[in-house]
Amino acid sequence: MSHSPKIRALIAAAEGRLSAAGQARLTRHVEGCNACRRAQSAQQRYDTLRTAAHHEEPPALRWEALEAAIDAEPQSAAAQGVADVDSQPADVLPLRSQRPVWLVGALAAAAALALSLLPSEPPAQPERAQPSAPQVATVAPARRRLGQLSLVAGDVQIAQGAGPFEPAQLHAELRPGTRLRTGAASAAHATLADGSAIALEAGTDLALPSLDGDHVDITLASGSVRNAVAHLARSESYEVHTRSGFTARVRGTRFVVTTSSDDTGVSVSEGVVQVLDHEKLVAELHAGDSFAAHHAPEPAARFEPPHAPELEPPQLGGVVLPRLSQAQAYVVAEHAYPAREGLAVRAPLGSTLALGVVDARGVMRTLNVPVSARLTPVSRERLLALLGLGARGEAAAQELGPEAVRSVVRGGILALRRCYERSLRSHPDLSARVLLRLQVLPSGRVGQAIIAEQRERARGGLPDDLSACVVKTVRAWTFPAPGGSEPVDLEVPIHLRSLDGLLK
Amino acid sequence: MSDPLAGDQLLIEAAQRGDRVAFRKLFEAHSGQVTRLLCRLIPRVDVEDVGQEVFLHVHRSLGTFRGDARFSTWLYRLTLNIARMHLRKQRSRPSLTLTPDEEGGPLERSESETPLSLSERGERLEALSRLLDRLSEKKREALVLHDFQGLSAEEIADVVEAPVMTVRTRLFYARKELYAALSEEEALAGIERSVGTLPGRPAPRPEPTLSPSKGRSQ
Repeated sequence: MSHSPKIRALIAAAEGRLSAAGQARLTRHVEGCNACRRAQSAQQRYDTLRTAAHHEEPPALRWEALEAAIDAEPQSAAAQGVADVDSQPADVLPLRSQRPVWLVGALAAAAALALSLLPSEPPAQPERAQPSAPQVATVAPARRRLGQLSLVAGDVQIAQGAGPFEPAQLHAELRPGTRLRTGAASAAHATLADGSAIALEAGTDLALPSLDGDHVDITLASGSVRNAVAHLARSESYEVHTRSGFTARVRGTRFVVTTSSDDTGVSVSEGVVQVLDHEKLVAELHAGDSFAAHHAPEPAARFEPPHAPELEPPQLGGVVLPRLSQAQAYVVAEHAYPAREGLAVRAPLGSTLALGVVDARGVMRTLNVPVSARLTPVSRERLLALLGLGARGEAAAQELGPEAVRSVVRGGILALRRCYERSLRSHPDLSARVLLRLQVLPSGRVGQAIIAEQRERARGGLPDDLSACVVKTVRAWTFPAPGGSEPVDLEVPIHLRSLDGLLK
Repeated sequence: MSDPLAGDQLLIEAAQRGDRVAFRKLFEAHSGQVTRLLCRLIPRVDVEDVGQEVFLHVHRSLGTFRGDARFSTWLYRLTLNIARMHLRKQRSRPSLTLTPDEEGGPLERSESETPLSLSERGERLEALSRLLDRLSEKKREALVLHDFQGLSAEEIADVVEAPVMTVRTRLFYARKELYAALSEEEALAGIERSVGTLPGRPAPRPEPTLSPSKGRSQ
């Protein structure tokens, strides 16, 4: 006859709730009971695991990241609309929803429908008074607010539709038809309701003919606009048009469009951008790519010419600066721009641009860049050398921090998964723990990659095709350039296993 | 349980009025509590993103907090809601997993640990996650709040909005199922034995995880 272990008594003993007599009785019982001995042993193992978990340091959340996400919210919750939440049904929204406010209702309804189809346990009986439940609530869509200015520096003008231009105020509302102008040595940033952000460089003139959430169109008459586009749904679009007929069409990315009467340039720092010339696809740009076109000015512009044509030099070129995590900022004409975002600067062709690069300690070094082409790139190596990071590998190596490495590895998991899935076809029970040893070159590319150690649980060891595939995949990874003159060694443990193995 | 925010009503009120500094202080006071809870409920690799999501929702919903419950109770409840939603989304994803240990980055380790011994340490935490995964959502939440967050059954009852006796019952059956699973878990027992019988910590390795190489060939 089987015997159920005395779990309740064991728990009570572990929590010190048993009397001395009860403890003695339990001890006597456990000595002669295999089931209880096994349960007690399991209890001790669980306590060991629990202790290990107590010593585990949880990942730290970064306030800066949260603050950026809050700023990208359609509405500032504490200030706008929250007071209306109680009167709204407490809908459950999909996670990480940063879609525009007017989509919230539909998304909440869809989420509610989806959740209603999920298997769930019977609802708990409401035996007790319920305090106010912090359900994940919608923000009341009191009013469509499609975007607003989040930074106004210097001479920034705003006009609604055909209305007159007037000085722009911080938080000024953007609507379809809004037009923005920045004067010399001025800048403006705007946040759109879907979380996208645009930054107008000095001397920029643009219009926002469509800003209805699903379709964002920016018409750039002149100047330069940096774009950070939130991920778009299939039905949504985000396009920047120039008066010369070029269109940059994106689906969640970071890119810069620069245009003048003679040139149009697009440089992409993240994601993919399609460039269209009068609706015809002429280029598809990936991260690091740039596009430049020279064109004769049209006799009749398709929209109003720049507000101050005299500010536009007749022959403009550009300088493209890469994203540089080792520097704090680029400084151009006494304006600082975050170096980690990269920068495109317009300047007269044939001139020399005085560029400042502020290092991690706040020290600025200057570099003169001749503007010899429509988009003159400045190499990362040149900038690192300027910062003095080229000669000392130690200083540079510190820049390749764990978070940067983690980010690259996360991005490479999908390709590694494909390697593993292919091997699973011939080795269905394959499960392995491997230690990858990589050598990251100063450029960020992987120079060498080997499987330094492995512990496989499949018979016959790690399959050759899997090893080769893993090494090939890892060698294709590109890390942020650590700089310096010497490579950096990394060790990355990887655990390959299937979900079936997890559930066994 | 001590409520770290028991005396912070002013902070909450200020944050409700849109005071960003006050909200930051709330975030700093409670982010550890949230991530520790999430570590036992969802895959560690997702903790950072979901933790941020929790505080985004706190920011959106703080206006609805009326002080009927303690802030920590309210925050735990919100965290559980968001963790549940995250897990439901996860279930619809492909069934194959490939997990770099400790999120795939270079691991922080003491000098006396090798990468693989560190990996084994991570394996014990993975084993714990695997065990907790076997429990139903409600039992797991009760157990985690009790055993890992240090909440009493009464406090858990407030968080999960269930009677105290229900919570106690969930705790009992959660433990019973865990002990049964642990008895069966040969692999885990093997790990525990091997770790337990090691004569000492492994010898230190000369090379750190992250270092500039000196022209050393691999």
